[in-house]
This record gives sequence, C-alpha cells and structure tokens, in this order.
Amino acid sequence: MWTSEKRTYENVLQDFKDRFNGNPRAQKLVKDWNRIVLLDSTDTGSKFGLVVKDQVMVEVRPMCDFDEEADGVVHLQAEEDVLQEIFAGRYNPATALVDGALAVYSPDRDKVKLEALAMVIWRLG
Amino acid sequence: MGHFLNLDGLALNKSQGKWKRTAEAVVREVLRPNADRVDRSAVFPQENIKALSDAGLLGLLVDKEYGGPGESILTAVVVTEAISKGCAATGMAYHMHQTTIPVMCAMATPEQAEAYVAPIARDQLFGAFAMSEPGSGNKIWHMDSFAEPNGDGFVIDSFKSFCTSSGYVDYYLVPVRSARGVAAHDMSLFFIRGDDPNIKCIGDWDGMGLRGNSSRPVHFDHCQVPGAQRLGNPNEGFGYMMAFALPIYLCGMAAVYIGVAQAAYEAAVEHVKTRIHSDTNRSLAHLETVQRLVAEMRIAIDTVRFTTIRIAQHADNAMVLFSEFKQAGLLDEVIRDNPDDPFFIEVASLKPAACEMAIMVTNKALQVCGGAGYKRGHVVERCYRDGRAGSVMGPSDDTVKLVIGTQILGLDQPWT
Repeated sequence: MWTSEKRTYENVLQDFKDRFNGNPRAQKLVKDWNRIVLLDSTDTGSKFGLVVKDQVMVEVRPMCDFDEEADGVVHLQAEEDVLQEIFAGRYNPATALVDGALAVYSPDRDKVKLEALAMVIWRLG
Repeated sequence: MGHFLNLDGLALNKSQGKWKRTAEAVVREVLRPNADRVDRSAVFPQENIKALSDAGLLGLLVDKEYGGPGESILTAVVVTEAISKGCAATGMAYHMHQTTIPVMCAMATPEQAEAYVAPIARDQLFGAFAMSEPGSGNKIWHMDSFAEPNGDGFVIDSFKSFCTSSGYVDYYLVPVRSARGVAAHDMSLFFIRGDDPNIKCIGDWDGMGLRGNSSRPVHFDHCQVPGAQRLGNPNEGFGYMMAFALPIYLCGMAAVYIGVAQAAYEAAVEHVKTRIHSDTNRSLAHLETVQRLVAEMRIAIDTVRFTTIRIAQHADNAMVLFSEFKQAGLLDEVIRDNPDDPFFIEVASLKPAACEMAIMVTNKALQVCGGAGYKRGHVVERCYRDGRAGSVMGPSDDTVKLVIGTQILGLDQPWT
C-alpha cells in the first residue's frame, strides 16, 4: 500500500506519477513507449491521461473530448473508486483485470507492456 | 443468458487440433503397438522418436522466427498427453526434449539459433535436459558442478543423477554453476553435443516404470565445450530456466501423467464392460462398486486436465511477459526479486496434482480390473508402474509442496 491517508483521486494520480518516475525498472520498460494512458471512469465520467514520453511520465492531465481510439492511447476503463484503489497501490491492475473490475482497450503489445509495468510497480515496488 | 456460443478457452484452435490429431495418428500407428515391447525390454524407443520426428512434432515449440511452427505450451500439453497415453516412456522423453526448446529460443544468439535451434525446427535434433545432481537430489535450482574456463571455452565436469533419454540424444542442455565458487543458483546453460566423446552414460536404466526412457546417470566427464555453446551470459541461467523452462516442464509433466491416467482409465472401462461373470450373466460394469470407482477416476482426470489447460494458458501468457522483461534487460532481477510470484506457485501445483492423481487413478484402475490388470503386459499394470514415477521425479512432490507452503506462509524460498 503506497498511500494510506484519504487523498483525492487526482492527488493519488500525482503521487503515482512520482512513484513511476522513481522506479528505474518502470523507466526501462517504457523505453520507446510513448503513450497516453487514458483513465476513463465509467461512473463519474472523469477522464485523466497519464502521459509517458521519453521514459518519463511527464504529466497527469485531465482529458475531455478525447478520441480514445487514437493512436498512442491506451484506454483503461473502470469505476473511479477502482481506479483510485489501483493507483494508490492497493489493487494490482493485473488482478483487477482478472476480477473484471478493469477493462483495457489497446493493441496486444500495449497490454503486454501494462502487465509488465504492473509486475514491477505494483508487485515488486 | 447468452445468445451465441463462446468457445474462448474451451475449444482448441485449428492448428492445435491438427497437432493433436497428428500425435494421435503416430500413437495409433507406431507408439501403441510398440508400448509393451518398450516396457518389457527397457530399450529406448528410438523408432517412436523417429516417428515423432517424421510427423514434425519435435520442433513444435520452436519460434516462427527460427523456422518452427511457434506453437504454445497449451499445444504441447495436448500433444504430450496424447503421446503419453500411447507410451509413457516415449511421452516423458518427448516432454524432456520439449523442455529444452523455449529456453534455447529465448537465450540463443542469432548464430546459436542457426546452429542449434533451426535444426530442431526441421525435426533433425532430439535433446535432453540434464539437471539433477547427486549433491542436491531433486532440488533442481541447486547445482554443485561448475564451468571451468579453458582457453576459448570451458571444461564441464558434471555428474547428473538422472537424465531422461541419456545416451540417445543429439544434444544435452546442461545447467552448471557459471564458475567455481559462485552461488549454487548462479548458473550457466550449456549446449553439449550428444556425440561428445567425454559423455559417459552410466549403466542401464532398469526402473520400475517408464522403463524405456533411459533415465540413467550421465557424466559429462571433463567435456571441452566451446564458448559459443554457452547460452546467455554468466549467471543468467537460473532466471532463464525459471522463466522459460520451468513452465513447460511443469505443464508437460502434468500432461504426461494425465495421459498415463487416461490410458489406465480407458483400459479399465473397457475391461469392466466386456468381462461377464457367468453366475450373474452380467458385466462387471453392473457392480455399484465398479461404477463408483470408474466415476472417481473420471472426475479426478478431468479436474486435473482442465486445470492443466487453464494453467498452460497462463504459462503461455507468462512467457510473453518474461520476453518483455528480457527485452528490457530486466529478466534476471525480476525473477530473482520475485521468488514467490503467484504464477510460479500456480504452475508448480500442477505437478503434485497430476502425479498424485495418476497414482490414485492407476490404483483404482487396477482394482476394478482385478487379476487381469495385475498381470504383466496388461495396459493397467504398465500404467500403474509408469504412474508411480512422477511423484518422485525432481522436484519431487514433497519438495514442490514445501515451495508452495513456504510461499503461502510468507517464508523465504529455498533458493533465495
């Protein structure tokens, strides 16, 4: 568990950005993988983009009117509480996927990358 | 309620179905007719291996980029079960050959792939994995022998206690410590040609079961191995074995024993349906005790088979993930820092599940067949002996359970 106190969803995502950028294994995994990971809440309608560029998560950006089918977008969809649990480190996204709590819409190669990131960030820390 | 048939994960794809039928044809035409002779004579079934080669089955797991069909662990499981149902000794030899392939594909340089992997894809090479050593018994993550640098290559002096197919292969895959004095699991993997004059197979294999698979000791007696035959960098062998050999090893092992159990079960069902007692003028199938035993066998086999298929799919996915870590240069550290990954526990659980199931099923099959099944030469009698091997084969079921138990209880794994 990375964040125990009650934080807003956006704060949780900002904390996650710092955690991601402080993880050398995660940075190795995203070499040549410039993507926007779109976090799409099915209940509240919130949309945030985690922007990965040149091995760094450069920003957490609120998104609106975004084409989730666009190239370079990895589309994650879940209820906001689930997304918050995931990015607070309390729920491994690989487990959430198996549980049916999270849906991923992306090319197969990006799904492999997400699984690998889940292993090094959520499991190994 | 759905309105269409969802066959995801329920049906084999066309390619898998083709390989399954290919294996079944080889079993029907060659392996099953040879099985009793192989068992009685305890002679390695070279004719069977040639038939598998002729059918294109030796290269099943070789990646497409090296000229193979690039089939999955799931396909290997289906094929291995079919082969083992016809002849368990051949099935185990085939399985150990298969276990060498994914790790070679993952580790080989382009030159090594051309020299060692591409010929497997052409069904020209048959191999063995020489792992267990006397000092560590069935704990295959611990090697005592080591590679000694010698000019451009290495001297390998390694005694392996049990090696399936020893003396009958074109190559051995041999894990040893990367150098004198390094930790037991700081391994390197070597490709050693089967015709190396310093390979000494010790005695004849005279086992209780799996009598044809030549699982005798083999001594790599100061083999001079060129540096080009070491796969990967020093100390990388353990991580690659965990990632690319262990999944196929454990899934395939389960498949072998599902095949053995299925053969015994089918023979028992056939027996009780055709054996008529004159006092009742009814077949044994009418006895409630028999009906119950037959049902218990079927339930046990199906439960392990479906679990094996599901975990084989997980294993295929895991290998994709491990390949991702390999490409990022993270494989070794991810494996070493993650000894209690749930995947390893899941795949490890297959071995005792399948091996204990095979012991139970073959025992019940013998019970329902009575004296007929006890006689030398009956399929059930052979399966009873073949089925006993898995539980003691390394890592033994007891060792596997210790690994699983330590993970559940949050204790350190023995290789950490």
